[in-house]
Parts: sequence; structure tokens; C-alpha cells
Amino acid sequence: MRYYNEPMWHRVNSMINAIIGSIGMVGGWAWPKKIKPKLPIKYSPRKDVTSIPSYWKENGYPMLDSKAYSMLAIKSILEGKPYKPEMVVVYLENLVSHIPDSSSVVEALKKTSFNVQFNVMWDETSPYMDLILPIPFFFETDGVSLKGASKANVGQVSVFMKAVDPPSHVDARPTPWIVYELVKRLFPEEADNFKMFLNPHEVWRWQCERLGIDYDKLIRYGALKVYDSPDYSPLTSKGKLPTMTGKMEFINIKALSMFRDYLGKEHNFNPLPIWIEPLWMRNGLADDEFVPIDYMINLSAINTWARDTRLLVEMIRWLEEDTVKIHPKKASKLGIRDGDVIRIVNPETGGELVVKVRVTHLIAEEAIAGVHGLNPGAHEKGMVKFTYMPKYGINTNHLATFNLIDGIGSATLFDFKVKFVEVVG
Amino acid sequence: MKPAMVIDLNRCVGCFGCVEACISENIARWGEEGLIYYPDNVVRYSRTRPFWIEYGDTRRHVFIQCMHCANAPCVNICPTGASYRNEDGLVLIDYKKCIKCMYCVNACPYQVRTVFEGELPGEMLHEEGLHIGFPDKCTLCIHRKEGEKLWTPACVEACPYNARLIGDLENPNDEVTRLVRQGIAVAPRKDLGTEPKLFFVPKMGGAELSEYPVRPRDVIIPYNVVSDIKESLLRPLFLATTGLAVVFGFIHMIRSRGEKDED
Repeated sequence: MRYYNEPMWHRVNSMINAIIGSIGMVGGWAWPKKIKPKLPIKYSPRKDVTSIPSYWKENGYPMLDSKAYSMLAIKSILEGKPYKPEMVVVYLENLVSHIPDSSSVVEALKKTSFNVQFNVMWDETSPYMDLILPIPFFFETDGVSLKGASKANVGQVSVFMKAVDPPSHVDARPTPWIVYELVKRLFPEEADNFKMFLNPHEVWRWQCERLGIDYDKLIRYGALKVYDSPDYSPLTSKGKLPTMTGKMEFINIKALSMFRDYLGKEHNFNPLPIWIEPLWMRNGLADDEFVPIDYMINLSAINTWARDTRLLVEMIRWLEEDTVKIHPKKASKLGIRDGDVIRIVNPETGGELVVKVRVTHLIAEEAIAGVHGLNPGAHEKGMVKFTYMPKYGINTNHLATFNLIDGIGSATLFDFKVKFVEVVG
Repeated sequence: MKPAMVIDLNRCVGCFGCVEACISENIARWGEEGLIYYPDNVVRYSRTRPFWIEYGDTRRHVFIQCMHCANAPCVNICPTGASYRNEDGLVLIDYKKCIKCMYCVNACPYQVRTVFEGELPGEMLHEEGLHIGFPDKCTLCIHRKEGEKLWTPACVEACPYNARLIGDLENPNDEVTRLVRQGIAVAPRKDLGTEPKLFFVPKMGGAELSEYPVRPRDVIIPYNVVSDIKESLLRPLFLATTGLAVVFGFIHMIRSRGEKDED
């Protein structure tokens, strides 16, 4: 699983416990308890304006996750709904690289009047910013809050403490300092609420008191155990599950009642599992077309700072993972040889990448695959200032189509084809 | 003590923390701005280099590094004794004796020795660090050795999954000894007769060991030729020279006595 999927985890837990008859019994699969240290902050969001997520919730995306709506934020800028944002603040996000269809994101960022980015280093989004505020890496500053981890039967709280200073020639200021200075000027009446964050130790002490753990011990060891006995029952303190029936449901009854009309249809609202053929399977692939796939390896990461770190990049190059893989049969049909540099394009969006080919039988004939996120896309135009990042990897976001999932508003799975254009080197 | 290393390929996830640790410990240099790396791909000079073998629909990693062979071609071929085995059986290089003939580089069937040619600023991090222009290879981080105790090489220390183990083959209770004695950990390409002290726990099938990358025989300097020269030419020459010296000395002695008697 690429990402930890908590709801699915709980569902699988429940199903296995039901099958082995160990619901609520020690010995069954367990539920980790949540540890989420609270922050000592009071803020009052404005109620006289419609937020972007609440607007889209009422306008076509009722299932929208209010904490993950970056694609709809881009849509808001492009369409001017519910209002035309004039300023974008990007906090440690690489929108251009991480949102499918980079060209749409770039178009949106060019439409606003003033863009600000908080970042630890240069990335693909930086060229479209008016102001970049350098902030320290996590190891160059004390963390704002304690971190809770509860994915196993041991729950622990850890603390990020400063290990080294930021480079002397970079004026990197901690985020709480920047936020406090902004609040002081924009909303002076709220400033006191943020003052505590200038001294993270004060925040940690406050959180330790509420979690019932020893602050001095936490500082000494860096992490402390909060519990080592998991929950064996899925039931809440009210004695029932937060489902429509209050009981365990193998099929979500609420979803079934809401989306009954979609039963039997090829739609993501269909409450029952359904197989939907991907585009390339349905329409077939021409000889010069591929299904683009990007994958992660142990040396790659979605973080720019890892993609642009010399030793990691040199290891990636050593392992020839700065290439895209093509099957020998397909390569021979198109006259592509091992080591060739080729141009690929998504005819639908015009998004294109120049990639270096490795011909290998380890890849399926239909696919063109490479390590995620190595190719900055705009590299050739000299718009980005990466130091070490390989320019030949693959980032499907630079090629993908700007498609939203109906009703949910997040990115669809990559379901598009790319076309081989030419060998360029 | 007879140090040996085991790399468990079942536990290795290919994070290459070992490679990073080796480079930072032995290869990188220290300058005013911190660590200095190399103008070309520094992984080439890592004393444990990742390599892959493809077969079927699988790609598997192995590591190329000094095997510290008991019957080491590099030691046998070295004309000056710069490549030698120390008291623990480790193959090391005495840079004061090395004449850079590179016979050892070309004699090693496992192609573990590298040579960095060029200029680099900064200082070596320790005296066993990479010497520019000289052959270089794994020392099992012997610079970490203190007294007679077994030490922990940087790669072993860095491995987050304990895929690398260091042990003493003379200690019957050592985990490494157990793995080797029970045949769980095996040396690659035993047919070469080099008796390595680096062992791998292969994945199912062990194809990575049968396919372990070695230099083709026809491009290896046959160290036995030099050994033969040593045996068949140098030794008789030495014996003949010594014999002649004794004979001439004896004649000289007899003649000296005769001259004294005549006086």
C-alpha cells in the first residue's frame, strides 16, 4: 500500500476478526489507539465568506475531504469560483509536480496576482512564485508540536529537536516565527495566541501535561511510549459503531442507500465492487502508444530535497533508475535502442517529457515505467535550478490529464496513454 | 580471530544505506565546507558497490566488495608484498610498498579493486581512506579496530534491517560461524578456489550467487603465472646465486690460505 489507508485498515481488521470469530477478544487483530497531541491554539475562522471546500461540497463534490482539495483549489482559480483568488500561499507543497496535469497548475498560478511559497529548497513550483520564504529543514529547527504514532500495538510520542543549524548563507526562519510576525501585522488582536509557538519547549510541556507523560524524560529519550495495549474492540465508548446500523457492516449501508441509483453502473459511486476497464484496455494501444507508470524505489522519494541530494541521485544513476523501461519487443518495433533519449507526449494535454530509455524484459509490453518524480519536466527550459536531480526520469503528473473524481474532487487514477514522438539523442 | 561478513539477501531491501555509510566513512574527504565527494559518480568508488542480476522476470541485487580471500589472487600476484594478509586474515594494502603496477586490480576475479585517478581537495578521514592513484578496496573498516575485540564496520552499523553481520569464524558460538557452518550463508563462485570470507544468504534459488559477476577468465592476469615465475625462476636463480657465492667464497678462502702459506 503506497499510503496508509486508515478506513480500509479498520475495515480489513473488522472482516478478519469477524471471520476468525474474535471481535472484541484478545488475540484477534487489534485497532491502534489514536495519539494526536492537541495544540494550544485558539483561532476564529471568518464565517462571512464561503471557503473553497465548502463551496465545492455544495456544488458537485458532496464527498469532498475538506483537508485534501488541492485540485479543486486549482479549479477555483481557473474558473473563478466561488471567487477569484488573488493570492496563493503554498506551504511545503510542490503543486506543479504533485498535481496531475502540471500545465493546468502553471496556468492557475499565472492567473493570481501574488504567490508566496514556504519551502526548504527549490522545486518545480518555485519558478511561479513571487516570494519564496526559506524555512529550515525538520532537523534544523525544533518541531512545533509533538508527533504521535499509533500504527502498531505500541503507541508513542516523539519530538523533533534541532540537530544542526541551517547553512549560514541562508536566512531560513522557523515557520512559527514567520506566522507570528504576519499575525502581529495583520491581526494584532490574535497575536498573543501565536506567541507560545516561538518557544516550542513551552508547547511540548503543555502537550506532555495533557498526555500525562514526563517532559524531561521525553527530551532525554526523544520518544516515549504512551501505551502498549491496543484496542481489541472496534466499538466506541457509546457501545456502537459509527455505521448506519451501529453494527459491523460488510457493505456500507449508508453508501448503499445514498448511491442506490449507481448500482450496476461503471461509476465510483457504485457501492458494490465493480471492475472498470482502464482506457487503454478498452480502446487498445497503437504501436507507438504506452501506458505510463511511475513507481517508487527505496532510494526515491516524493520530497524534492531527497530527489536533489547528490549521493542519493548518484546511487539512482548507478542503478540506472534514472531511465524509463520499455519492453524489447516494443523498442524494436519503434526503432528505440537501449540508452536512447526519446520524447513522449500525452496528445490530450500536450504534456511532454524527454526520457532516457532502458530496454528490459522486466516490464510489460504495454507500459513505459520509471521512478516517480525524477524528471522536473521544465528542466530543459532552464526554468528550474536543481543541482543534481536527473532530468530523464518520469513524473506522470507532467503528462496526466486534469481529471477529478466525480463527487469527491480528488485526482482520478492515471488513466491515459502517451505517445512516442521521436528519438532525440 | 578470523573476521568474516555475511550479507543476508533476504533481509536486504536495497536501501543502500551500507553504500552511503561506506562512502561517508572511507571514500569522502573532509574540506572546509564539509564532506567532499568525487567529480564523477562516487558510487563507483564505494568499497561495497551494488550490482544487479536479471533473470526471468526478476532483478536482484548483490554487492561487489573485497572477499578477503584466504587464497587471494591479489596477494599472490603482488610483486612487492604491498597487498598482504594481516594477522586476522584480512587482505589489506600497504601503500608504502605499492608501486601502482595494478596487477592486483586485474587479478581480482571479483573486480572489487578500484583506482581513483585525479585530484581532490580536502583530507582523508582516516589513514585507511581512499588513496588517490592507488588500488582501493574494502578493509572491513579495520581503522575501527581497538585492541583484540571484533569491531563493527560502517556498513554493518548502517544496515537498518540487520542484513549485514560481522563475526569471528574462530568463535563457534558466533552467529556468522553458525550460518557458514550450516551452509545457510555461502560464498559466491566457490569454483574459483579463492576461499572468500564474505558470505551471502541467497534468496530462494540462489541464482544471484551462481550468476555472481566475476571477471572473465581470459582478461584476468593469471596470478599463477607470476607465482610460477616466483617458483620456477626466482627461486632457482636465488639458489644458484647463493650456491655460486658459497663456491666462490670457498675458492677465495682456499686461495687466500695458499697465499698466506707461500708467504
